[in-house]
Amino acid sequence: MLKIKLFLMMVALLMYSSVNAQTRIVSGTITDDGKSPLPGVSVSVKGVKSGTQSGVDGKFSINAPANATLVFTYLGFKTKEVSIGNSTNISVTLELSATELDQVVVVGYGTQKKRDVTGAVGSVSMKDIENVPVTRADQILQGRVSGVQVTQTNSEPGGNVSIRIRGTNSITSGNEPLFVIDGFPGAGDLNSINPNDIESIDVLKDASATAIYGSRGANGVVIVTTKKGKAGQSVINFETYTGLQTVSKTYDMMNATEYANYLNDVVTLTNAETGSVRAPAYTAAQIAALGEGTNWQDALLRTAPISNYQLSISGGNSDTQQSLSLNYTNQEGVVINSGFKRATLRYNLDKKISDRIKMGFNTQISRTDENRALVNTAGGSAGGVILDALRYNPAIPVTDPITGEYTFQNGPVPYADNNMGNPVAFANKVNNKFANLRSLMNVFGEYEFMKGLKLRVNGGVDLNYNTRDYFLPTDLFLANGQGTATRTARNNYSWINENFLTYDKSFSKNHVLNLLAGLSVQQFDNTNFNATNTNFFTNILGSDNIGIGSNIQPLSSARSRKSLASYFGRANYNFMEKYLFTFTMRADASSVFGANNKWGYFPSAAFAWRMIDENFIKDLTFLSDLKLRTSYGITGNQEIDPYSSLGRYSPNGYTSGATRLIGIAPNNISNPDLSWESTASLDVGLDAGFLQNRITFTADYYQKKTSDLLLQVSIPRSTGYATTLINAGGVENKGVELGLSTVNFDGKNFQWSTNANISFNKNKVTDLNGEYQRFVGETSSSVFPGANPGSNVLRVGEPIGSFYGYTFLGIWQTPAEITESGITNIVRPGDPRYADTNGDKVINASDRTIIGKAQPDFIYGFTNNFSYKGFNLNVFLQGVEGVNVLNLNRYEIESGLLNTNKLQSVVNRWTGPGTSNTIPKANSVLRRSTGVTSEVVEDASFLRIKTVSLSYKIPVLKSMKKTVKSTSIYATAQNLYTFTDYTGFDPEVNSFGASNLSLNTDYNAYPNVRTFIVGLKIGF
Amino acid sequence: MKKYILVMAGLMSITMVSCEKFLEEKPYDFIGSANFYKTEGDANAALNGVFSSLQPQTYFGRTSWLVTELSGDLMRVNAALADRDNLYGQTFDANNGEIGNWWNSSFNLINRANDVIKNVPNITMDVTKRNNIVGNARFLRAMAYFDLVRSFGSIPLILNPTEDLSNLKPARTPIPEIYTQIIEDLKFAETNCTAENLIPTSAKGRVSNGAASALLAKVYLTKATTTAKEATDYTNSLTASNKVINSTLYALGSYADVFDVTKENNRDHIFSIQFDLPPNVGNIVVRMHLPAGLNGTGSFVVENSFESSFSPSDARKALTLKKETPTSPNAYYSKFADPLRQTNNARNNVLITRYADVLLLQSEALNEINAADANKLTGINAVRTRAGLPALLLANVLTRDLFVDALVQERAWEFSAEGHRRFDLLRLGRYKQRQLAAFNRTVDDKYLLFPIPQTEIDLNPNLKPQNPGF
Repeated sequence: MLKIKLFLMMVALLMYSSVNAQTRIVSGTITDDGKSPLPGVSVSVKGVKSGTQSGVDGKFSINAPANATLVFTYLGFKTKEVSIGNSTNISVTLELSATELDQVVVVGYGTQKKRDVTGAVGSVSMKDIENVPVTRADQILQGRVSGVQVTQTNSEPGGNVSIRIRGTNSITSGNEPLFVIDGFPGAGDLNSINPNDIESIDVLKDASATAIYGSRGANGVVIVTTKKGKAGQSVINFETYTGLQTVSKTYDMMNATEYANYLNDVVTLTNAETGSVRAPAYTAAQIAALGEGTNWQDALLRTAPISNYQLSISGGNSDTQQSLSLNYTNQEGVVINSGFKRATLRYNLDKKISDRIKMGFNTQISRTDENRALVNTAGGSAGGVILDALRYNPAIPVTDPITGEYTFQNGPVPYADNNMGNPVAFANKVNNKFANLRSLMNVFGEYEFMKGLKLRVNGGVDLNYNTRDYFLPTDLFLANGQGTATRTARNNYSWINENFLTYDKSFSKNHVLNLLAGLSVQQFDNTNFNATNTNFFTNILGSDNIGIGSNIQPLSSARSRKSLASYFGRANYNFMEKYLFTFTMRADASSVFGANNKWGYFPSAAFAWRMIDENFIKDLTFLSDLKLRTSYGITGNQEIDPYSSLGRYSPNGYTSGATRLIGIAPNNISNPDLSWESTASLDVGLDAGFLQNRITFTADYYQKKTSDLLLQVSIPRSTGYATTLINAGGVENKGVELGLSTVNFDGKNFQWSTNANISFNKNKVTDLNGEYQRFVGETSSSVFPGANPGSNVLRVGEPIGSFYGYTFLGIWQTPAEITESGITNIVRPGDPRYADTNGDKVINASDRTIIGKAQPDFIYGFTNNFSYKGFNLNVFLQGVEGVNVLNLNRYEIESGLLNTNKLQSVVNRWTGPGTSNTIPKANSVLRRSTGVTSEVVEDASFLRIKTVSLSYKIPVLKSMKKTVKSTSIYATAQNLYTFTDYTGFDPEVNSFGASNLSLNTDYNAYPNVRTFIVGLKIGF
Repeated sequence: MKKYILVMAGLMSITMVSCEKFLEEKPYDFIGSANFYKTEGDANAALNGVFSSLQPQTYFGRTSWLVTELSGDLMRVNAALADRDNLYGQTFDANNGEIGNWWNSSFNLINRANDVIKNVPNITMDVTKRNNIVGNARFLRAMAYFDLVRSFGSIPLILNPTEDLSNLKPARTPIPEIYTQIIEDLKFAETNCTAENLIPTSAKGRVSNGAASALLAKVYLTKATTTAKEATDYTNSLTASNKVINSTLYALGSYADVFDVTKENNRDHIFSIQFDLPPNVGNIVVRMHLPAGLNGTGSFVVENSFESSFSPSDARKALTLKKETPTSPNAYYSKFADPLRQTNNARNNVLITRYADVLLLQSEALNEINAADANKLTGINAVRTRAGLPALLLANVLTRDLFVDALVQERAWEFSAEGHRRFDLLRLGRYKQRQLAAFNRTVDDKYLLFPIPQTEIDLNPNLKPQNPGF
């Protein structure tokens, strides 16, 4: 059977080529408006399927019969048809497509022309972010797609980013979108993708677009497409940039003299209040000799270089296209001894094996190496270089002036917190290395059964091996003379197989149908191992020979597996090219759910009306595009840990003397009914274009109702458990997104275009399984010892991330004022005053109210691009408005702890009636003992000049044209300036990572940086 | 076209069949409820799991002695924190975090104990060993219920582990029923737990039959002050304390040795919660008592009135408290010390009951049975003699009340900061009196019970009404 098929195919090919024998060669050059050659333009003879592509110099040649019509298509340009008559050499100029409508948008399991899209999809192509040094792919999205909030929660190189598409749906489960890389869903971490390899990123926002990913679609889907080779001459591109990063802002701390006076003030006041007779920390003579002392932030922070090298080679012919890229990035951190390095190799291949069979292969292998500074921790005995640098006594030098060795420990005892070691020594000597070796591979084969009916088989694997090496040398304060080494290894492996049929059929001009049906299975296997040893006699080997420590700590290892199985289908129906319908359905099963509820079903329907094509609109000539879209559908969320529905016993050891007794105790209540979180979304959108699309405008309104949350609900503690995981509760997000693109000036030499987007989202908890509210949000046990008061309230009717605490009213000025208030708490003049909101004359937990919010009113991005001849200037502004950050650092460095260094502003603290109404007296600890208070919940709205980039295309010398095709240089400033009232390092922060319920909390965070780079691009 | 659809349908049905298995979760790195409680090893591991619930700071690692000592008359809050201030100042309410911890941690232990009590009897293993394990769990459950009923009054009596989502909101059980269960559990432990001298060194910290008797002695004395009281309570208590004393397995050593971390689980100790340095769970108590200048947190100090109540000849004073400097306004509790302490972590066990406690309980029971009985002095005088104090003379403590006063005094000197004070004062009927004497404070009756935590009553309305006054 197969042999006969092959034979027939050969015959067909022979016949085809004999037809071709009657043609002749037509050649020519393709250029754009500016007469620059266009490489990679598809050229074909009208009515004939096969074709060719133009080379790097824009030249093409093709076999064509006489009087044929050649069709030239190129992404971003208008398709042009040229009747060649008898000529054999033609010059073709392609016009930029005035509309972006023919632009191809990548949707799940396929692509669509933008004009045919019924859902809400945002796209960024790499063209938009040329010359911007991004070390992580997710930074590409920041401020550029409406409805997408990208927050760099940790500014450390390689640090975390949190992405929220259209708000926060889930309280307990994940809120990060699904990432699909070259068709491979769930391949996760964008940190290991080389951003220079990315061709485009498409963001699926509404149910019409995301329902095809069913149970993983509720948080939106980010589809990353990498660069593929194009037919034509081989292209070699080399790009490099190098630059410097500086800390964009530091805290202004007291100098040694001011701090010594502060400590003495604490002693004097405490003596007066308690009758103790402690001597001052410093004598007047000592203080006189102190001077400025050490600026610990300066000692810890540095100007750090960043550099990037990228070499890519791509090319191919009409049957085979391939691209190979190599990249190396080295970003040192502004905290000494921190940094991030990444090397990647990518190879993409597309191959046409026969007229009916195509296959492709995408692969990337990457290695990242990081040394992370210890940040976002409690400082002191927990270690934490930033916080300790802020808190450390400036009277102590970094190194001993006589021995030249690092000074050891904070002091003087008992005035300053001596449970803290030299943070500079710590940063320099501690190894905290994270290495990641990751390989992403996927392969596909496509077979065309008959015209329009194709089967595609995808297979992929994601291999991810992470290690952590930690070594605390014996000569640091925290080591207790012992030293600690830890090695952790994680091995994550996942595979996927997806098979789907597509069928495209035009029944007539008025009825066009695209069908998709498929199935998918995917499995994730994770294992890890962790070992720690202490008490090392030498520091020479670090953690490379962990066995030579003498006090082995308990080992741990873990293994888990998660399996997914799905069926999916989609129907697109295009009626009269004006009425577009999309229906999708996915049935998903996940192993993580209860035995009774493994399967979930996620349908969606959408309708779009291309009003511009209606006769009654056609006459409105100022309009160039008008499309109304609406969609409704259900998507799901399954981001919970495997085994959550099972009753589990977990290790809980005991001790007899020093003997460890292994113990096991029940961990949770099993729930065989556990199932999907589901989000019902409605989207209404309008796309409009004016003046031949010089102005394009997109608006969307959406409403998302998430129900059956995977919610840890509080249950009576008499059960032995605090919470149990059930499907309950609800969250609502409503919002409006607006996007505007304009070409403001389009002259011969000068062009100016603007892109702006703004997104409003209102988030609200609608149901907590009958609970009215619960207190959530991490703080730090070192700020609030004992019971954690919770920094947030989760309350029905209020948004997730509502800061909850006491309202600051100023400083108690006089005893009379205290007496008059009737407050029964023990307070003294100089202590902060908090509102007795319930009027019971006692300030206690019942007086807490909502004092801020972590979800912004709106976010926006604003890009202006100016070009003049070879020069291009790109200015990108990005902002967040109506948002608060809880600055926990201020409990330690402003008021609350008596033994740490303070902000310079504390020099002007309260020292008697009328002296200050903002900063308490030196020895007041009331702020800290009260809990989360409004004066540290700061306005963190900001407007950032995120990128300013100037580039110049250097005209290539005639003599070099043979080898060099293009050269450009650029200079870019990133995070140039941030307009904000926030007093911490940076308003874009979360020390508690991507946590759902501890948003916008700043504690010992890594400072943000301002980056200046210069770059060079050469094409060969 | 049809052919392709058939192929596709065929493929789908094949995957369907194998799907069931593909989606089933197989535990790899944890023990699931389906494969536990099969062997003696499982039973021991589960019992250790019950014990481990005693160690967190929110239970016997900190909370237990905060709720009992701060609301007494011996310990003062030094570093202001609302929850502690409110316990100390008798202004606590249903939102007090430490009271919440006390409730939560007790029920956490009870659920784990219930799991053992329900499942271990089904394991095929040596019956004596099995009953010993169940006896340990029943002792711990009784201890937790005893703490709860003394703290909150009537509370739900839950005797089965929580295994599904039904019946999560139990109502309160009358106090007499709770005492009946506590006594039944302790009697089971008394019968089935190993004698102290037969507990191997590697298992020190386990419940002995002596520990069950010691706790029983206190339970009866306490019960006699509640609505559950019965005429036989005092004699039952006496029988229980006599069992401990007559076993001769316990004895008074030197007072210093009671707190010496290198001499833990000695003959003075009847039941202690075990702590050790990391990787085991350490005890934070040492750090919290030590002043900041001595690398502690200085969270608590000794009440001055208590310091001055010591007789100069009382050897316990110097072993109990110290002053950082001669001019320090208050002394700090120095009775817990560990030379090897690592910041928060010290090895010191938390002493639940020790021999001196039993001796004083014997005296207390005898005084209640017949105040004129000179035997009531035997216990208390043994304790006093060890401390270097002169023996009490019957003539000076002839009435019941005078002797109760002596017990109140003696228990302060002997057990300060060990987590007994609130309950001692309540049981001996001297709570309000001591508050008045020490702080010139008239305490409302409502503070004799803790309020049910507000979060709990919100989640379980069946607990309403709240304790009176809150």
